[in-house]
Amino acid sequence: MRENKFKTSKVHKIIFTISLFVVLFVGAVTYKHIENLSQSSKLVVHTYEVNLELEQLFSYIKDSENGMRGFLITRDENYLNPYYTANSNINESFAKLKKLTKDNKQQQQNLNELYEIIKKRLDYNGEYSDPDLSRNIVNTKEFKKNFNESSRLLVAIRNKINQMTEIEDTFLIKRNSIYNEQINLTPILTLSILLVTILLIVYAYYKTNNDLEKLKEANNTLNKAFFLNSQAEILSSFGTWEWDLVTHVTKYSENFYRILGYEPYSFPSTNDNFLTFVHPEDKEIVLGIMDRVVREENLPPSTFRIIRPDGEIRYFRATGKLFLEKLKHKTVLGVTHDITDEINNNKLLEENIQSLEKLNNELIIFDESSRQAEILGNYGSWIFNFETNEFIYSENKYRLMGFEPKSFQPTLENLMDHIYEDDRELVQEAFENANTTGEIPALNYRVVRKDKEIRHFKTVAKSFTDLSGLESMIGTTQDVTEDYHKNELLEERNYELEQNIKELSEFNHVASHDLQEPLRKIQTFISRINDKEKENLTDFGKDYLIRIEKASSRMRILINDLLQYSRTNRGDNVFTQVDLNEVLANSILELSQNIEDKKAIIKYDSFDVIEGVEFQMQQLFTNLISNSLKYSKEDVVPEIVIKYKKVKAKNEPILKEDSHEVYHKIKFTDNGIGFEQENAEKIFLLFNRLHGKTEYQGTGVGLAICKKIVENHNGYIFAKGVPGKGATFTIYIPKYI
Amino acid sequence: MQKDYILITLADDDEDDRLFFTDAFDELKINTVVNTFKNGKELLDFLHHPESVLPNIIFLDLNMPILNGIECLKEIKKNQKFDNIAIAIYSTSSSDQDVENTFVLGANIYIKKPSDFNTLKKVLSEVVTINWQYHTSGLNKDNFLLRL
Repeated sequence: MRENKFKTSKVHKIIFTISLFVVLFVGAVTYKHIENLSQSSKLVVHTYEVNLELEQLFSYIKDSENGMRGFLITRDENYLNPYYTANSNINESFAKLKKLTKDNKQQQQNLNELYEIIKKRLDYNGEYSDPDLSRNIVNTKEFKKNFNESSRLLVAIRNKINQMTEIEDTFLIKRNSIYNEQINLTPILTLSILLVTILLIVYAYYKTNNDLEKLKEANNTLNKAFFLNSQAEILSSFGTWEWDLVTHVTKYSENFYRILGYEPYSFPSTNDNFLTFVHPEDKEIVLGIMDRVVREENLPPSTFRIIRPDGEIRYFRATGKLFLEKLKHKTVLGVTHDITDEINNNKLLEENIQSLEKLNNELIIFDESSRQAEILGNYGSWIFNFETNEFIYSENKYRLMGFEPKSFQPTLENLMDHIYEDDRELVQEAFENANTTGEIPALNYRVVRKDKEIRHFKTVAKSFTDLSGLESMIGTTQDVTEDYHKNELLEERNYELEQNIKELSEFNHVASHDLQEPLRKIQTFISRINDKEKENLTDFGKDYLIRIEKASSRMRILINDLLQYSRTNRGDNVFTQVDLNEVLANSILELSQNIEDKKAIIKYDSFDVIEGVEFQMQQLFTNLISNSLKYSKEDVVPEIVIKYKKVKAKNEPILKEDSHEVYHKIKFTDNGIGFEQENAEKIFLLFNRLHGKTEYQGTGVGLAICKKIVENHNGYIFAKGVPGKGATFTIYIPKYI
Repeated sequence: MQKDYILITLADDDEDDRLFFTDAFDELKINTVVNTFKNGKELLDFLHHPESVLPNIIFLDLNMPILNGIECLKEIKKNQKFDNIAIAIYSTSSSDQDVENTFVLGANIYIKKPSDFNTLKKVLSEVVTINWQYHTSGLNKDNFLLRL
């Protein structure tokens, strides 16, 4: 648009210049022509003048002739007066002619010749001008001769004049024709000037009109552009401004007010006013822009903050450019853009990118770890497309089937080829069902690997819809062959174990009920005989009866101990808080008769609450104390010391456990018969006895039960003995909380 | 009908135990009448018989053929007619499970068969002379199992 305008004005200038030159040229030509015309007219007049003067001359000559003749004839001196006048007139006329024919050599020459002739003629006449003389000579011969000569000269003059007039006439004819020519040319020339001028005026009018139309159009376009610009300003939240550096007036666009948070034109637009909006920390930046924009041509956009009247902080980006309008009229034109949203979006975008990067990173890690996990866990994953019946396999899925990764394009058809014949229908059905139910619940089937080995696979899958809306099925397949075999073995073992447990519980029942029943009856019958028939027996019989009684009571103890041992075997006891102080008190109460009989002394510390099975802890304490009482020395008062302490595993070398685990340490020390240290472990074995049963009553089950109980509590029990001095049993029970 | 004796019934498949039981009551100087049955079914048949005189106390062995003690206990407790009869479990075993079960099912006392005749006499005399009204109202798991 601007270029077009520029071109038009240039064309204008060219046309104007050309027109000027044409008019000047035409003017010059006309001037020249008119000058020529006046010249030719002068020349024509000149010719007439010459001719007239020549006639005049001849007429004067004739006058002089006439005067002379009159005088000669009359001798009247009065006739001499015209003669003299005529002579002076001739001279005058001649001088005039000389002057007139100055420009023509031929005429000059003719004039000279004419002068000679006239002079001669006048000389002739002069001889007779004296009145005294002439009277006498008229009739003389000389006079006659002279007279003839004079007449002849007159004719010669006449001829000469005629000759000159002729020359002038030829000039006249020539000049007249030139003049006529020029006279004829004048209207044409004038008309052509007029035409050219009219043409130029018409052309100039046309051009101007044209330009006016164009200007109107340009103005219209400009108006539209202005409208669009203001719309654009609103939409893109930017404003424009003009800063006149001469008058220091600043003009804002409407939207500039809006982005500042005001109605258009609601406050005077000055730089100082604008500065009041700027964030105090950014004032320097804005002052910098104002300073630099005046000096520098290209100013990179600067970003700063402003505070709106409602307190909202917005980010602005502004730039301006020095615009030189007319002479020395300096204006800075600028654009200020509200980039708050952009900045916020950028921030958001940056955050998004960051989180995406993080996610991507995690995904890469996850991908790698799942790849490793697949190899370690013997599984592969896959995605199935219902529409194409095609799979995407993970690398390990190929390996599971005995192939190199990506060595073929997996489809449902070629999967079927790899499935063990008997299981194909099962798998086919599972996939068909999955299309409607959206999942494959744990599916077990066999696959014939590339190396013909039959492997057991387990598959689970679920349908999912990805972001693009494509529904497919994602699944995991595991090679469970080892597990399958292990499971088979385990099931077998489990079955055996269950049988064993059943047998054991049957035995338990037998032991607790069926074995006890006959024994109880035997003992009851013995008591009956003792009551009723003892008197009737011989001493021998009485002795035997006592032995039967003893044997049966020992059998009872054995059965009871055995039952207790089998009861401690069970691992399904729940741990609770057990107060060992209470446990010890109960044990002492239980054994009170025994303690009293032996007059034993029991010393003990205060205990903590531990985590354990109460009745087992009770059993443990009772067994250990009764053990000490049983193996006490007969001549020494039994003394049992029970010590308690909380310890760290690493401080107890005997535990061989270098950890910070805390244990309850309970130590039972007695002053009984003791034992050889080499037997320290043997004493915990079931039915293992160090002494004959007649010396010390016991079944060899008590300590075995103790060991079992401690082990049930994940603890340790150690025995230390010195023969004849005593024994020490140390128990470690882990502290859980 | 006012009775001047205590009617006692025992269901036990073991002949020896039935003998000890009756012998013990014979020796005890308490006015009792003892009936014994070989299993739970026989006992129930007797109880349901319209002409039977209902006993004051029933002693139930747990391990019996045909109808065992637990089943028998359930049957008795089903019938409101027998609400006033005290039921004593009389068993060789004193396993926690048996004690728990019978207590829950509504037995009044649990006796472990002693292996001494004099102890047996003592236990039975104790049980017979218990004020059942009082005992039942204060019954709990701790005093359910009779200890001597």
